[in-house]
Amino acid sequence: MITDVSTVSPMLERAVAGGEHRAPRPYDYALLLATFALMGLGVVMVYSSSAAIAETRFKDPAYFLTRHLIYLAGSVVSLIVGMSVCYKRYQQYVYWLLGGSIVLMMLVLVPGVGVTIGRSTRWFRVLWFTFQPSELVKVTFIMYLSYSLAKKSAEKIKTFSIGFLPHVLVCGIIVFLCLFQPDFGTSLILALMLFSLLFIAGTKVSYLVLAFFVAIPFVIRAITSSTMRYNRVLAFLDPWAMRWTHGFQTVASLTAVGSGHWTGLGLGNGRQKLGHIPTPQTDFIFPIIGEELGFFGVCLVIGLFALILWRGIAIAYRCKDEFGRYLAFGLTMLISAQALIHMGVAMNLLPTKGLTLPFVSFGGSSLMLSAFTVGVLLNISKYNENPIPSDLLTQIKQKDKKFRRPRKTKVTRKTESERSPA
Amino acid sequence: MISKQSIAPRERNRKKPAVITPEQNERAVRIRIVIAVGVIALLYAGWLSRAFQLQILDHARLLREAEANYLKSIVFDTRRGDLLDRNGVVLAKSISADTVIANPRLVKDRERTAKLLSEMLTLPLESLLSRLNSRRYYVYIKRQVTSIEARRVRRAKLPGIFIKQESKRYYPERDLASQILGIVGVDSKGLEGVELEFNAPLLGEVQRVKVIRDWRNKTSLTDETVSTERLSGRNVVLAIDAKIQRYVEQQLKEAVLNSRATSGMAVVLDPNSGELLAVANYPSFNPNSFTRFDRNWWRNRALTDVYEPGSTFKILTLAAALETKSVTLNDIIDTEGGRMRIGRYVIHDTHPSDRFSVLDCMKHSSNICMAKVADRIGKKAFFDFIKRFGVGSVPGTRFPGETAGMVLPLKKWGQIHLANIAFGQGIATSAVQLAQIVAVIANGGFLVKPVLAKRILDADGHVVQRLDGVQRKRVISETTAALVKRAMVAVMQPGGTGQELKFEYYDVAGKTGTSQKKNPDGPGYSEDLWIGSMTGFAPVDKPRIVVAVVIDEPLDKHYGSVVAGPAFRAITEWTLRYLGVPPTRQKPFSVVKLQKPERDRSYVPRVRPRPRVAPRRPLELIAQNGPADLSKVIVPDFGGLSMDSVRKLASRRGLDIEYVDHGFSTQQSIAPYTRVAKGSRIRVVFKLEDK
Repeated sequence: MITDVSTVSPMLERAVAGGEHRAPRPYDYALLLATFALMGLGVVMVYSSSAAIAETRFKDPAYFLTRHLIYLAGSVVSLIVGMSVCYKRYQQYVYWLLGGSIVLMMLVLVPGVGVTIGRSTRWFRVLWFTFQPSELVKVTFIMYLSYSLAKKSAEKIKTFSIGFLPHVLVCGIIVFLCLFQPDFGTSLILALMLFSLLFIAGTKVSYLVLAFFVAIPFVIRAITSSTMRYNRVLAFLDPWAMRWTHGFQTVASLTAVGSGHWTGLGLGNGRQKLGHIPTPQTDFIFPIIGEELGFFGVCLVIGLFALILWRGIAIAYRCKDEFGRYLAFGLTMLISAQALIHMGVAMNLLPTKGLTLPFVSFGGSSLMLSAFTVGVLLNISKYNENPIPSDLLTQIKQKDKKFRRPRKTKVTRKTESERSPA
Repeated sequence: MISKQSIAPRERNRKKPAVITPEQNERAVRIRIVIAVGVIALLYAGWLSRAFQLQILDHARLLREAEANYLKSIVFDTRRGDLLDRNGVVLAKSISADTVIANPRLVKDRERTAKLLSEMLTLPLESLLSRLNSRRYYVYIKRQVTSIEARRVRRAKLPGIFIKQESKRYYPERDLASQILGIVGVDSKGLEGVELEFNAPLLGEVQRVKVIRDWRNKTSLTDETVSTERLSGRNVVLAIDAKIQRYVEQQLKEAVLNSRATSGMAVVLDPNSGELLAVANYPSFNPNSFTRFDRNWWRNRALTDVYEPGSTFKILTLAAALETKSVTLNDIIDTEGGRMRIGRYVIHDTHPSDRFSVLDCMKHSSNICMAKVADRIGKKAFFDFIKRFGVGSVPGTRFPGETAGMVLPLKKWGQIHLANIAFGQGIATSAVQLAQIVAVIANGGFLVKPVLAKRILDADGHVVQRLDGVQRKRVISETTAALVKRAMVAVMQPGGTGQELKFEYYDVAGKTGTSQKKNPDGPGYSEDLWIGSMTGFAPVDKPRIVVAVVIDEPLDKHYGSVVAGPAFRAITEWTLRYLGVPPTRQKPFSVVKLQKPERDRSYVPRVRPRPRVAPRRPLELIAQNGPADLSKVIVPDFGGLSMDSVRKLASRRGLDIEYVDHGFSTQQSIAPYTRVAKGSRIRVVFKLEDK
């Protein structure tokens, strides 16, 4: 019998409730399966795509693989954390989370603190790994938006000053910080998340259209202010004309994907990863998949992401409370948007933009945050089956105030009425 | 399962009262979620169709583009094949040699590097500096250096200076058969001789392999394989026997030096198969360092140069006469006391007599007799026989520059020509052609095609191509051959011109020859330039070898039996014993050792440039030591050239020629090898040869 839903974690719950009171496992296993499938593919593809350059650069073909496996272990932990922590708690601490990640974003910009790779300063050094706060801010921003939108009534959301402007301002602050790093990709993702969440929450479409047109000059300014971005847009428009200059990565990517045919050249047989394509283990892992696994491999990847989209949206759709619904929707959109942009860049449907493919690409922050995202979605899915008692938040609050672990006495305090029968 | 309504209204109820009911709002949110998801799903579908377009529809084009970027082809140099003698002795092989190269862009201190290199490799400093100062990425410093030089360069560890391996031709037997083998240029390309003729099979097939390169242009992967057996070129097996060749060369050298001749040639031919067991020329050269030798020494003169065979040609005349039944061996010919006048010319005999039988004609080598015999054959029939014996057509050894010999066209034959040709003047053959003619007698009437290269083998020794099939055609009857053989045996018997040559083990048939050389300075024959020759075959009963020895311009004595005879004898007997031919005599003659003449040690033989042939390389080479003056040119030697050749030669140098008369050039107003301004006018007098 399930007696306690106020506990922090299901594991704890199980420990408290004893063996005979096992909760049914209501997690969305299809989502979990799709995630693990992509992660598994990621391990193989990271190794396949990085072995050659790792060998030449670090004299160790498994350089990226070993790190990827460590990150993967970390991401499994973060997935479990996401699964375990009741999503309502993010609602509780949403300003701390958002504020904290914004502070981290600012800290990166402090000279000497941030780590510069290439032309961008986006990372912290944590022990011997690097951490990218902009990955974190994507998630906390969605949490903030979900909270803020869930809090407001449908009428308020439709207003400009309460329902629209504050969210745009918060987004603007983060985007501003992002552009300092510079990190145009994250800015774009944040803007997309803002728009999609505002849209489903019921903001007037006219505001969104207006905001879109207001944003255009800024986007153009952002593109023209950087020669790299400008050249990338030019290369996007006609990569073959610039194949020896700025279009080289697009051309390499297109030819890689195109070489695949139905079944691809076979695992490990890719040629573009021999340095012809830049960062084949992160921003350009999709072309390697297309080259080595062919159209079937591409179908598999898109299919798995579509599965995640479907399960994520199903979780959002079924969620009983608004915060959870917005959160599940936002996180699903986050994964989908990143996947779409990554693949779109590889197939020259979008200008070159350094974004990882969630679950697959090499990169600790991206991998862990993506896994955490899925964990949160799974957590939400759990409560779709087991409704959250109305006083859960108060209970959590009380508990946190006491800074105490829940006791057996607390557990047994539950009344029968709060449990929902199937 | 939970019903939707069970908790949602409860939660909504706690919010402020709204115009839009929570249920309505929830439904609206869900509809918008579906719309948003629809957009995303459409995008996924769009992405998938884009992937289909790229991977399936545009596959061919994109794959081509991709391969153009990362595929490159690597050429595998083959090792040049070996040249082997008939027993597999390696006569030429390719070894790897160190070559010093430089990447001038990596050289740090050019001055210092050039200075050090010029000391280490003994190269001029200026040319080194100019090479190091070039803007290229790859320049040769010195190719195929010695191991000592290479070690010096390696030790110096100069930045930008590298040593790479190149293939170098190596001739382990040094000057053995060098004119047959020929020479190979620094780029492994055959330039002369067999090396030139069989350049293609020796080089083998160049293998190209498509490899995948990485972005630094380093080769990474390939699915193609390189056939290791094709990495090395074909080997060519020659018909010559290195041991015989060595012995023949030694004997020839002795003969040339003893008679203080300018040069000599010797040929050993198997009359049955046509295989050339030895083709020797003296002076010879060492092909390992061919540049140090006179260009004229590189020629395989026994195959490429003609000479007037003299009395040895009487073999052919006699064969023709007997075959046409113009004479028998016993016919008596009036030799007119050793002096016969034909028109303006007088023919002499060395052994004057009033009359000779035809057999004695051969024995004493009577010119007058042979002229009369030829007269009996008739011009047309004799000319046809000369042609049938292969004079005027190339022997077919495939040797580059192989000569066909020279025969005057029949319509130009006068009485004097017929008489001259009967004893081998006014006609020219190569030494190999002479051996070929003798072989007809030796093998019973067949003209065999001489074989220089027997077969082409692949690296594993499998025969790729056979070149040694016996090709022969009957030119005279067996009876005629036997009769001529009898005459040739008589030559070696007491009273014959070859009587002094005592053969220890074998019966030998032979013929001596002493021919006059054309006067190099004017018309007619020279009084003191001779060619002494001796040819024959042995053993008489079942001939195994034909030997021809030709000594050019002997200084002291010029009779064939004296200058060429000893070498002929030594070669014949040694070769037969080497071949294991059973001696025909049980008890050797008591040998009177020919007294070894005192040799002039300071004497250096020289090879005359090939007559009547334009120099193959521009003569400016002669002036390479002096400062280059492009406005001046060197006057070529026009001597003996046709008008057309003179015109070509002159126009190449920008000289103006005044043509006087016609025919072949005899005089030029400016001496050869003098430097004159470009456009100078030279008067060249031509004259027709036959007067």
